[in-house]
Amino acid sequence: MTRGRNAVRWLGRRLAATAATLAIVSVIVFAFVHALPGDPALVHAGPDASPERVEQIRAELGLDRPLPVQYLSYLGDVLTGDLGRSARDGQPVVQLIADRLPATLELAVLSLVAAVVIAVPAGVIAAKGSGRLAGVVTSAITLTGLSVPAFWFAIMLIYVFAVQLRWFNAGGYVPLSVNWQANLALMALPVLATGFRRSAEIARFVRASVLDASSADYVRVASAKGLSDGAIMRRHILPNAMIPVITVTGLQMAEMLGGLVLTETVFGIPGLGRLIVDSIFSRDFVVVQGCLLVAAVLVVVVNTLVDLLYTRMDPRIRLEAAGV
Amino acid sequence: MSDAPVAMTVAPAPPAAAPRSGATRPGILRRLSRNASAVVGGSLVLLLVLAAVLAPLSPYPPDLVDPTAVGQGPSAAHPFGTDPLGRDLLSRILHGARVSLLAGAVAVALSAAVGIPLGAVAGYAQSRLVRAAILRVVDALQAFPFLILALAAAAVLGPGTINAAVAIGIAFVPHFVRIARAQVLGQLGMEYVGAARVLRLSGTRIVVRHILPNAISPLLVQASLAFGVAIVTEAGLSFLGLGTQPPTPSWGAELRAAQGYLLSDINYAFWPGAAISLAVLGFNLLGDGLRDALDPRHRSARG
Repeated sequence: MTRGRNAVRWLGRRLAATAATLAIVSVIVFAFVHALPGDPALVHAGPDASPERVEQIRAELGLDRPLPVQYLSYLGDVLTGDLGRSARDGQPVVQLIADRLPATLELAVLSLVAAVVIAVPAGVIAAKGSGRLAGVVTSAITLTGLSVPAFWFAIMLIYVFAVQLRWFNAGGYVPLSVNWQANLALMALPVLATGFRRSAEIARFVRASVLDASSADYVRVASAKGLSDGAIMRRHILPNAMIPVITVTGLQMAEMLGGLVLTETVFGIPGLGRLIVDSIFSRDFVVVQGCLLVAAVLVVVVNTLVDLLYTRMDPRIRLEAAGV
Repeated sequence: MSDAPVAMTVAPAPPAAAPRSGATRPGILRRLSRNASAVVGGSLVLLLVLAAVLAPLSPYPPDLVDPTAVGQGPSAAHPFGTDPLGRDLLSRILHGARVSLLAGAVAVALSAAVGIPLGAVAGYAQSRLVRAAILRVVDALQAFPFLILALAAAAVLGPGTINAAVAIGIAFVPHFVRIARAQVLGQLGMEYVGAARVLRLSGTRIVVRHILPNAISPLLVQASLAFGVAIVTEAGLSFLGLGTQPPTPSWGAELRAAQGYLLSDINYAFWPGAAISLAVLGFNLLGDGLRDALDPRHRSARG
């Protein structure tokens, strides 16, 4: 009973922290537009507008009100799903983002899957052969993954697999819902490029985590029971070692969303990252603002989910977190 | 002024302390010189600095267009080949090192200068509200993907190497706040902090004179790793067209230009990326080496 109540209280605290973070995120995003050089009313009015027209637009946009009032009205709009309209073509920002988000999310999810598929065997091999050579080889591979810029690696992949071998197209995008084969064929290189980069950090973690779990008492017990090494790895070490790995993988979301801006640029994928960069170039800052907010909310939500999942999966953490 | 008696009280055995401190200083250098990561990383960083310093001595001016040597592969006259305009790639890469080094230095200096004091306050401030406020803002800033935060800052500041570096520095502040705070919290339980408190030293003095010097090694490690990230991020911003602007030769902008020639010329895209990779590898290795050499726990685990 008390355990359940403690868990609820812990959940409440966790969600309150998330809400506080989101509130500050909204202030930062609001401040972003006001930190920009230039007068938004002037931009909206165009170069030939009369001073009276500019003032009129300023009033229409609500830019003549005090900042706290403007913030509250912005917050109200955001909470009702209104992120404003593009200065370029008047389209709702929500619509622009909704059009671009699927490509980015698909890229993100597939890249994380690819990263884990690369990282887990690599990390396990590195941990099993915990001799000097295995350690040196893994460090070398992960250091390469951490040091080679993903966007350059992507360009080199294009050269090898698209220009020389002609196995894939050099870039482009077909929505998954239109033609999934074409979509996956186009996603292969971007996913490989991003996944390899991400696998470096995860592999380091897998190795450390497996080594850690290998020295636990239950492994010695399993070994004393006469289980084979393979069975111990599969049934005892990996399930326990995976908990921190899942956490690290989830937390990669933030960094990866950033890196995808570059991947999308290299491969010409119309995702959220491209939308941000294009909007910065066309000085369409309402769209940039919307993208910033969506990216941050995405990260906060994923981080919170990872946190909840993490505590659900490991009973030891669950009890600790609940303060039992 | 009042330092001397304090030191005497806390460490009342100067004769024993003298040889010890004499042994630690060169000890760190010796450990670093025996650490393969630190040696290789340090050499790569040194190479980067040499490239930046010696760039004016490069074989050609970076902007010299030679219409008779367009898009050439490596040769005796042009060791890295030439770009599609006939400019010498080696000279452009050497000059690009200046941009990268400048961007890294500005970004790390800025984020450390802002982040470390904030982190110290977040760890040591008397007011619980102040500590919580700093932490919450840092949390919120870290909700933004790093490159996207740098992009937003670059959009506010406008294009250019220094602006890109400042944008990256801003995006890095939360990391330094976290590391510095963790260090301060880690030191709070130490006996020397208790001793300093008993002596009624002010909080600022305890943090600045006693805690931070003891926390210097993790901060150095972080600075080295951050330098690498700053270099690759500046290259990324320039690759997107929001960092260093042509005609200034920078590795990111070179890659941006080279992508258009991928069908005919891999040489052009190869060198800038290789340069970024080596520079970042250097700082990563140096950071790893510093951690191994400076972190007492690592040391005892190995010894």
